[in-house]
Amino acid sequence: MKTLAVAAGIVAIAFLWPRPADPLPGFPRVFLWAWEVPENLEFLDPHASGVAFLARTVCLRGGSVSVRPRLQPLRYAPGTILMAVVRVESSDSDLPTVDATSAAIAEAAAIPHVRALQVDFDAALSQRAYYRELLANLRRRVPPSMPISMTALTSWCESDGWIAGLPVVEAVPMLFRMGPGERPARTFRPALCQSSAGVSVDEPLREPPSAARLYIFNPRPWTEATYRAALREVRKWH
Amino acid sequence: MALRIVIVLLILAIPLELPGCGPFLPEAVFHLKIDPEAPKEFARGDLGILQPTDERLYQAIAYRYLSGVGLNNAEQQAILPGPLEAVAGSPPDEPRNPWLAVRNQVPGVQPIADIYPYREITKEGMYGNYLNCNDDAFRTAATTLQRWRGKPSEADWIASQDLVFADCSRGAAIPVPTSDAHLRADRAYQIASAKFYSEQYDAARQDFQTIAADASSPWQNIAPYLAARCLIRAGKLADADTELQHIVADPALARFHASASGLRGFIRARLHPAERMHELALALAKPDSQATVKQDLIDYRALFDQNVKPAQDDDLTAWILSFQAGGNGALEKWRSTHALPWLVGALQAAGPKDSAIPELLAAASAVKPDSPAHVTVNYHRVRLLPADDARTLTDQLLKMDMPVSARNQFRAERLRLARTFEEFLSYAPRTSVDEDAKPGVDVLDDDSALVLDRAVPLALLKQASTSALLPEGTRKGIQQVVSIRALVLAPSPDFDQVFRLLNTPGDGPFVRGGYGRFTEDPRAIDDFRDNWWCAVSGGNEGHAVPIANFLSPPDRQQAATEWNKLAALSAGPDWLGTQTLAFAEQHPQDPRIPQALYLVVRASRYGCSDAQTGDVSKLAFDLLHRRYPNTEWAKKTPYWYK
Repeated sequence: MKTLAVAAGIVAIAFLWPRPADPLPGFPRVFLWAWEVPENLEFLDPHASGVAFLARTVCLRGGSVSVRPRLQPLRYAPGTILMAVVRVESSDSDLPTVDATSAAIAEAAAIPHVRALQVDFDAALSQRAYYRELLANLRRRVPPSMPISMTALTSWCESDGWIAGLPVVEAVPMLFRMGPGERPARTFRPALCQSSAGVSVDEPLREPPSAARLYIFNPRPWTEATYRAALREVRKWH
Repeated sequence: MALRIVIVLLILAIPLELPGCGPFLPEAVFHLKIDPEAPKEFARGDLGILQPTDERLYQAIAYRYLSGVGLNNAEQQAILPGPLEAVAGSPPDEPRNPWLAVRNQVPGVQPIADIYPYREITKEGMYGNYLNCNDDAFRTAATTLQRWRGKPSEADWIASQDLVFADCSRGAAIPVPTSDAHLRADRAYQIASAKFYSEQYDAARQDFQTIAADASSPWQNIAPYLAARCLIRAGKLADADTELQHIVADPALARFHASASGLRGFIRARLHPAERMHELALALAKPDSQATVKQDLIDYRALFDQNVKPAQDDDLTAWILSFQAGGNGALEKWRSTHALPWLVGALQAAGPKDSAIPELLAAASAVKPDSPAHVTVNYHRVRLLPADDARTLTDQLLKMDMPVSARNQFRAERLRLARTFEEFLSYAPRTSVDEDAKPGVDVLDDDSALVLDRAVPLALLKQASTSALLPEGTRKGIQQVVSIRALVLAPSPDFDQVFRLLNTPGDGPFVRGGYGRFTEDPRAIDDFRDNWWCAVSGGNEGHAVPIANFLSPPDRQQAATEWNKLAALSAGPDWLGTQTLAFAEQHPQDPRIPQALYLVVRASRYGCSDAQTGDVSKLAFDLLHRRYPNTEWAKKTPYWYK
């Protein structure tokens, strides 16, 4: 009887223990990353999945900013929740002002029907202070109702403490295209890295990620078949 | 209809090549597999060794040369700058907007920093962008401004032009008509242009037609062409084609014939792609095509990339398809035609044991040195001839002028045929052809790096480290490898050297080709985690262990023994940690131990890791904090890493 009571207590605690709140409430638990290829995602179930599409690439070169917009068409079912992804690329150490870069990123937040912004910047060690300042500036620039997400190298979520306190709702560790000898972790300690994970359809994982929200990359244009297959795989995990 | 408009706009908007930007780690490239190292020389017929992976654009040009058509001077001028340079790479800097360059110099005019030429397509269910205002528009405005400089209406004209270009990215600002007689014609053109850029194509077309009927307007001649462009943007391609046909037939509009013909080709490629592809293939095989060759190459390549099958068979398309497939079917075609393009294809497909080798080699040896195919066919001769003949032929060929990529490939063949270690070393250095190449500094390609790394005993590696046959940088790199290799292969490694290695993340026991590590200073941590080394079993496998035919059997045996030990070596951070922990146990009072343990944890953070790294890191961390808790090194080590 005593054992039963202890077990019941554990179960109760497990249910009643406060879970981390979803940083993107109301957003689907699966997002398809739609990169710079023609994408027709009209087959997507808007209730099950959202689209995080590359909206623009912001290039930092020679101390100035240039913007390359998405030139490939993206089609989606009406009602689909859209997240605009802005890729930031730097080709030298001469970075422009934070204000200029932030303004170029923020313009993507004005794209009609976009509900959230995701910044994708593989900042080098020497660019981290800049990136931190950039995100703070961006947070002030876009409406408070517009969540800002960021992608993260897994090292940022595994061993680096530098992303702590960044003004984003989540950092999405990308569990694919990793270096030799690196194996993706299943869970991450920093709070920002716990809610979401990025996976790729062409790199099966040894262990499913524990994150509640998944961003799925496809190196080829999405088809309904690859979408369905990806969803089946995700349902096995959760 | 709306969808058609959107699709047409998107097609118009997508450039052939998208500009790229970093970060790109420098990678030594010794022969380019998609485009030649010098497009201009290639366009002149200096083809080097043709690759099945080359851009089809280059293969079409190669076919012209192989089939005796070539490119005359005017044709070369027509395509350079143009599609060849577009393929070769994006310009390093974006060109300055010519309109803003002159506009911002006008006194009293508020400068504009930039004009965003792309316009969004946003409607429920669709997102995209297209290039709305192209360079020609800005150039025309810049030229027109010169006409207004210093005149009373200058500011008025500029203000209206600003409104026109404001529509490039968004909105529908339309300049107001003017009563100023001097400005009237230009204003009408500005109004029509503003409507065009703000996607009011029917209204813009009407305005351009009105301008076309106005004999006093300086824009009268271009207006019919722009009216036709309105139809294209509206997705009415067939109607646009009819109008463009009239323009091409009108001698009074001769200035716009080439542009109109180009647009007709664009339309035909979309309405009748198979027929257009066949037309283009035939046109591209003809001489004296300077008026059309540039656009034809672009269109042919675009249709090819869309997997369009020509309406009828043609030799150019058949040859490209065969060549890209490794020379599939080329032998039969060569036997029936004896045409040079097909000989090149047949040689590419041939293996050393093919029965057709004698007849192919005989034909190849008859190709004269001034033939554009000479370098390619001789490369295949070297590949197919018996070793002694191939060696002699390669040595002769290497005395000739040829593109660097081709020279590197011949040197690679000669390296494969090396009979002694000295011969091997003398053909190992190569000149890289990428943009990061340093003039006069040769480096190792993977073929020689792999042999030195895995198939050569330490004694010969030492010999290589002082050989004048290798460049200085390569020698230094090998000296470092020899030193670390001796350390890691030693039964009981010297801790002085282990401690030094903990401080030099750029050092390791493996020979590397190319430019090596991005961070040049071996004492500095590399931002891209290229620190110490990875275990061979943990992603450092690369290729199979090569066979060095020039080695004696005992040397080969010795190399295999050493390689087996190296292949079993754990990743750098693990090996360093294991050595340090063992030394720490035996010499707990050694003053270097706290720092060494800190460095082990640091190595586990920044170095190549594997499944054991976390264990080593934690052991070092625990020992540091348990035994040396008050040291600065313990304070600098708040975490361990896995």
